[in-house]
Amino acid sequence: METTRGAVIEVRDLVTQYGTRRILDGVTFHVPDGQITVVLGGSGSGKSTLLRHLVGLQPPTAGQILVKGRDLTRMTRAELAELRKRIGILFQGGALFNSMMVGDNVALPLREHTALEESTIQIMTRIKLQLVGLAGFEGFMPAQLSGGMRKRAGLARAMAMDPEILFFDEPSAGLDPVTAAALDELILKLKQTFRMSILVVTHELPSLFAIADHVVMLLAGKVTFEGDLAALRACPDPQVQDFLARRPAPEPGDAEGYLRALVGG
Amino acid sequence: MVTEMLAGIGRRVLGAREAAAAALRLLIATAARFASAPFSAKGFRWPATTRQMVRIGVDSIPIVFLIAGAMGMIVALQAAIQLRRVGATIYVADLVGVSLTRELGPLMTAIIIAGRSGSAIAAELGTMKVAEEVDALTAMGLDPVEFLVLPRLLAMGIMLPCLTVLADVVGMLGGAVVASVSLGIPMNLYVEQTLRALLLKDIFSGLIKSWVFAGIIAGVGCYQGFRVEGGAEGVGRRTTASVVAAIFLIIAADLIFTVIFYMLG
Repeated sequence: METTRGAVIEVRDLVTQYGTRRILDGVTFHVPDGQITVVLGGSGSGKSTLLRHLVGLQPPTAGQILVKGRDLTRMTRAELAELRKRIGILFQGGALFNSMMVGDNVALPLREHTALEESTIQIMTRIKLQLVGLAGFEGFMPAQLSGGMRKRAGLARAMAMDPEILFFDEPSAGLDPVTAAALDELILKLKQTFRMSILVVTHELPSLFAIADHVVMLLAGKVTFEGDLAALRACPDPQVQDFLARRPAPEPGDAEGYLRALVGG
Repeated sequence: MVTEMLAGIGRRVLGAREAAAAALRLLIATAARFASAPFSAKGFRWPATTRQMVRIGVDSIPIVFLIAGAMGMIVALQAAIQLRRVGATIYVADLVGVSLTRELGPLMTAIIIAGRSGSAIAAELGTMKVAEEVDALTAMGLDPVEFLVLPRLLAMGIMLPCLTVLADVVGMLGGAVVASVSLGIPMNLYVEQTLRALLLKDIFSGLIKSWVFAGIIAGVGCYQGFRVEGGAEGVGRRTTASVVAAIFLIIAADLIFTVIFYMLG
């Protein structure tokens, strides 16, 4: 199958519909290999749904998602299972399993998918936790950690199997600016050290400018822009510029409509 | 106005059909996992199952003890009032023994456990779903049915019959206490009479019922838990629904069993 050169993921004409509502309306873009792609969009733009499609949690209504040349929407169970071992996802809030300690959370993929010795798994767990700055926290329960620490633990778990592609769902959500900046640093470090392809779904502008190599902007289920940061800043589309400048969209002045709504139609 | 009513009915029917389809999917997935578990690498996941067995079974012993004891006493007293009229109070032992093993033991125990453990299962799984923990499992290539549903189902299937037997025994003891205190029937005579009246098929029919009830409680709990949407309020709503639905289905199943056993003699 012909793919864009250097693209680890290619999305073609993705459509998702719930009844009459089109959440994603013909989305097409690519994720370059070994770089950080930021999918930008406001609330209701469809970016969370897009992420669920990319990691195989939900099938789209139509379209193709090519991961390393193979179509995700047509994969067999076994192929999907294999793919899942090679990707990692950091969910919003970390999604740690609250019934297990942090160390067991991180070790879970290793215990399930590999035949490694327990002692080896322990060492690898410690390495991953050290990587995210949580060395020594193996014995803690998730409820004992702060929000930022839970996210980092979730990241350690996502990294456990040394994935080729890493997905982040709104990593800065709920974090203070300092912690968010530290997480951005970590993401950059991961890209440089491990040469992995990273896709970050977010609407936080500071993170965008700190980490993005490639930007895809979604508005109301359509791709409004795709390119690098310089092209983004220079983009003439008013919606893009409003987003970057944090300018609210002008309220449509409809005096008659307002009156009608007040009087009750 | 009529169209609105019809639309409402249509919506409900479509909603019910979707819910039934989801329930069937869960049932098939669970059955498939159950059948394939002996051949898979990790088998039936006994550590997780044992944990559930402790929570469902061992922790429920005090309340089952109390309620079954009270039930036995109530049945004995009610029976005594009628049997005294015909001067046949010794048959209190028969009545208590048979009604407990065939009917009240399994039914009462199932209702207690539905309220206690069925709601806990729905609340736990629902909270996990809201925190995206279930998605995290799937995205890691692990099966939520294998990890979460099967241990609870197995634990319920092992523990509920045990608790039912406990309820039967304690209930009969309660009856014995009543018989000795207010009817003047000595304990050893009561026990002898009970053993004479009980048939193996009474005990077995009670145990078969409790197996089916176990499937209902665990199944409804898991189904409702996985359907939770919308945060804490959604968890609360589904937890309540799981108890109500489980009790309703338990009584319906009991009715069916009673008819079947009646026809089989």
